[in-house]
Amino acid sequence: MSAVLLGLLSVLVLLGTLFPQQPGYDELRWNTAIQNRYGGLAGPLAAIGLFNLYHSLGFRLNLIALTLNLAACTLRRGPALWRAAFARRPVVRPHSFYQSGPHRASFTLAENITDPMNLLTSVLRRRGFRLHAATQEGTYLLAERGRWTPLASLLSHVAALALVLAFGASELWASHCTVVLLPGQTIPLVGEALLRHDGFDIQRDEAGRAVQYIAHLTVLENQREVRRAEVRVNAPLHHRIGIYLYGYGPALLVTAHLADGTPVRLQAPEGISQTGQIALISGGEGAGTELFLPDQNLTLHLVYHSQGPRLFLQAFRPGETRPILAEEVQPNTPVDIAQSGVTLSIGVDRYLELQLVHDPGYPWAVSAGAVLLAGLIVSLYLPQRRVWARVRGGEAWLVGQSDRDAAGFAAQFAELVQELETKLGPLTPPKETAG
Amino acid sequence: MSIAIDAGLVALGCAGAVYALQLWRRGGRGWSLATGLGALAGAIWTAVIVLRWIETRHWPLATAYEFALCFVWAIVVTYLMLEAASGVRAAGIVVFAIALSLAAYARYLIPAAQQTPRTLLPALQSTWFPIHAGTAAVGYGLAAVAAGAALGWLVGHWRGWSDSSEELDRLWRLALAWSFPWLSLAILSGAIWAQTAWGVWWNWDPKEVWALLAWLIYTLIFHLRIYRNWRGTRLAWLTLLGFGAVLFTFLGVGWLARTVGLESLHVF
Repeated sequence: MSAVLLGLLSVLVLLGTLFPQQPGYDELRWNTAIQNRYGGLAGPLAAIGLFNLYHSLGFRLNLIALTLNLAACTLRRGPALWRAAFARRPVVRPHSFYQSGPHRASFTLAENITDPMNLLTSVLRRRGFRLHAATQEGTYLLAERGRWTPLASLLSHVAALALVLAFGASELWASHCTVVLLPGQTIPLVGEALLRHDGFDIQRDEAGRAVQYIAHLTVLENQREVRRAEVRVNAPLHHRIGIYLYGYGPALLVTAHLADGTPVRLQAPEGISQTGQIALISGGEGAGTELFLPDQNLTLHLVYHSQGPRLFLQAFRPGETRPILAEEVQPNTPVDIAQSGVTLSIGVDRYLELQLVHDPGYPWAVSAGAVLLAGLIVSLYLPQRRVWARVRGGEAWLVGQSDRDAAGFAAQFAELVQELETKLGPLTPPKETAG
Repeated sequence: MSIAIDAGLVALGCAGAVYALQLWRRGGRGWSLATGLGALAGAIWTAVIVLRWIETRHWPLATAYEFALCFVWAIVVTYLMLEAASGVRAAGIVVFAIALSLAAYARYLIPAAQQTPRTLLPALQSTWFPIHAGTAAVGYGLAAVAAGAALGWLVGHWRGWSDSSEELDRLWRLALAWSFPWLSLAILSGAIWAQTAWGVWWNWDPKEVWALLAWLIYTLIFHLRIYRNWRGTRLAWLTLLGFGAVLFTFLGVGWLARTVGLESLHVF
């Protein structure tokens, strides 16, 4: 069943890369693009969840079934793995065992060997085996290495289960919120905390390519600065939630006052109103942004081009299509708007796009991933290995066992036999009748 | 740099040819020459990586070109290590053919503009970048060795070479056992890096999905081998399928993203 579910999961994740997956933004553009690409098929394909496959019911059901299967498999195999690690194995084994073991050898003891068991003990101990001896019509030895390693398999199954659950926790409870922060602007963070945009720098190499983006942020609590940080890509700020630098763009800082120096009320399209100075997000390259001066009954249209850079300003009276002012202006240079008595100055800065993240599943996912990896390494590289030895009547027998088909044990056993051959005596074929 | 790569290509070709000759002669004294040429290729590719490192002043894993160079290096070096550990040389021809193809792809098919050293992008300036990309390169290299051994096993099985089939099975198992943890570590470190950079540890990016797909295939291989006692032909095909997924993760995802219109952070 688990193989079928794993196979099905493979097919589903593959399907998700053969069809574009719906992003969490710009639904209108997405629908148009899908209609253009798939025409009449777009509806049926969307209905069966192919454009949102990783969040579709079928995919989630497969993940749930796989999780349940993994849990059942872990519970079923758990006791056997526990026994494999903790159960005491018999030291004394019948003769048939020495004739049928997966890896075996027997030696005719050389005449000068007085204490073969002592020799065997020293060779096996040097190879890292733990030894148990017994005497009963001959001397018997059980040598073990990696006795606890079957538990690693159990551990990796439990970790895989925890990883899927952590993924589920992230899907259900993680919050990712993108916020735009204008220069000098403060936004609420968590509880009483506020976050302020104190600046943004781009470091460039000799060729002018960006090598680092640095956002200067300040966390305030009860109107006191509690933390200042430089947030970079790969270096987020953590203050109860994670604050990640996601993007940036041009922002226009508009300052306006009357001839006598009285600051002017300014209103952004989003309804935000400030007096004297306001920061605005400049639209995309060449796209305009608007600003309303309610007391002067003026609408300003600002267009910023990063190439140059160049800044264009138009001022309109309500209901009029002909501007009372239309000219290219220099950043931070005062401009008088005729007939209104307003003097404007427009500075260019950068707004920040930040991702505020709270993901309770992440620490569990990383821990589970690390345990899964450790379990895999132990399972694959440190298998449980056992060697039984018997010395009786001028002969020594050896049987080796390793859990599963651990790579390399055959070679290790062959090496052991080779060493013992030089110390105990020549190899003899196992006898069919004895014991 | 290009002289070193050309020398590396020649060494790979020569090593592959001697491995092929030895296989055709069914053994003999030439194996040492094959391994020696393989070691020479490994040394040259190590020099290529070091030179690229000096040239770019960062881990040479940032572009498809640099990753391809490291992939070739990983194939050669991990193969030589596993050959030494297992004493099996019958897969050399296939492994060196894979390495040679990848090296030729990097040298001749990747546009020259993309081979030019570049400053590391801000997103790549992370401790996790060399860990993630480096472990992926080693995991991919080991997967290539496993695929080489599996293909060799299939050919040996069809031709009735039972002795080499048994040997190749040993190398195949060893390569699989080594590649799986490295591929797992690559995915885990990638998830940690993504969380550090963007606050999202799993984003269903096409590259992530294909890496997961390859990992699932290898999980299936171990599962079927251990719990269903699968051996031989079926497992060999599954190993080749796993390596196919690995290759597609590296070479095909960019093309797929452009063709299907997928968004990916890994397209370069």
